[in-house]
Amino acid sequence: MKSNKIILIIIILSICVSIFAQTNPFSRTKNLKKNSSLLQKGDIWHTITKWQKELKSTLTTLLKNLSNSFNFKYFIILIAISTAFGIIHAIGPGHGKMIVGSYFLKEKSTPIKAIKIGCTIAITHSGLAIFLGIIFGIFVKSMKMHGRIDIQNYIGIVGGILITFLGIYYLWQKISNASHLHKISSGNNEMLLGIFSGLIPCPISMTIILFSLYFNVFLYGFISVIFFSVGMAFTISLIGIMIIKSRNFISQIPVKNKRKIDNLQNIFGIVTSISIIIIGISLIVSKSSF
Amino acid sequence: MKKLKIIFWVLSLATLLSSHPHVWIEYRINPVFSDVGLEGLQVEWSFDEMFSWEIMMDYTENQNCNISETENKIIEKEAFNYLSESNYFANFHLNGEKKTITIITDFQAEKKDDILIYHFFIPWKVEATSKMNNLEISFFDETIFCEIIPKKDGMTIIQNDNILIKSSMVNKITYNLNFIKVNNEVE
Repeated sequence: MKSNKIILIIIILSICVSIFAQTNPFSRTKNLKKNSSLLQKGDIWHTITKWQKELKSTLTTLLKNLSNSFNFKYFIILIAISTAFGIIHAIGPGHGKMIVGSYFLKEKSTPIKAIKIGCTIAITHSGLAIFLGIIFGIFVKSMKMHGRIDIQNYIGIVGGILITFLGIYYLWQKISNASHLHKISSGNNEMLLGIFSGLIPCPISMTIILFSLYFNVFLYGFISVIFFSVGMAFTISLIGIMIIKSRNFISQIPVKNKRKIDNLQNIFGIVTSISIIIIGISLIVSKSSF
Repeated sequence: MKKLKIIFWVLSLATLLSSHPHVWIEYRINPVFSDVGLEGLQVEWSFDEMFSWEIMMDYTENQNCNISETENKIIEKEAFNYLSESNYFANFHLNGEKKTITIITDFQAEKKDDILIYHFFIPWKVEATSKMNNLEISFFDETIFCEIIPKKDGMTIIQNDNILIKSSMVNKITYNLNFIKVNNEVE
């Protein structure tokens, strides 16, 4: 029975694939992280990325059409396409799902909390992308792709450091069994996790803002990014809810030796806290220039 | 040391799971043969419209005009040469041995229907002999920042009388190319 649970946990961890964006290979020679080509050879991967390509292409066309004249039909399609793009884009690896997954595996939670974290990630993510888009598109127009990527990487490093500290904090809580500390900060835990996870601006959101500024359709670009983030929040929240449900399912399985299960849960809490630290460190490493 | 290895693998796994595409490239590749054998590969990359615009906004004076020779050089320097660190996304194998690209020639950036297209040539001399040569050709970005897929007519081969060439697709992104010298001498 125990081995079944462990297998189930491993499957869940494998499903809730992880963190953020990466270095743009067109603009940087540094620190190119090599991933498996097998992922790109899979049919499911191809289907998902093909949908994204089509959605991005349609989004581009709609923004350009709206720059010529307002058309209500196009506007509604823009909202629908942006939302769908956000949903599908967040299905792929990244966007803080591993952190969210680790957090919900770590301790008992509710679907509302999953939605709260999903929304916080999306708000932080889109807010930062809009902010940077405006800065790059209006105030520092002369900055080229290299500079933009550098700034995104610096923000990513800050996000990585904060996530690492959060993971250390969770680990400390688990090891020292400091339940009183947990009670004090439980209301802010999801908020902090969501903000730190959403701190890395997605290059797509930022490009949409820059693109819309260039074609004088900032409002449509802004709305597009908002709904793109709504789509992302939907996916992240859904994955969070799935993990919470899976965790509840595991805890409901009748087991003879309850003490051993309690111990196992404690160990699991420590492991997931360590995994948050690892994600934070890997983020710092992937965004650093060495 | 063992612990360090474990940490390295765990970090690598975390990074593997971190990646997703933001740029889409469709490619076309044409192997160029002479009477002697393979001379190289003529490559064409077409970017998605938004990334095309981003490059052109950064490195061209007027996005509505054709790319000038000066702009072409800037694009090559600022938005192409860096890819040498990624082996230009090329995953080429000759008889199972991976090819490292050291030289690229004839780089030309072109704007066509708001799409940015890179044209370039990869010199790669492989003599055709009586023994079958096998080439596996694909492009993929190991960081998965770019999704690179072949176009529908992704490979065109101009047949040569002295060399028998056969091509097929191994999977959705990989071409397989076999070629052998044909003995045309009439006894």
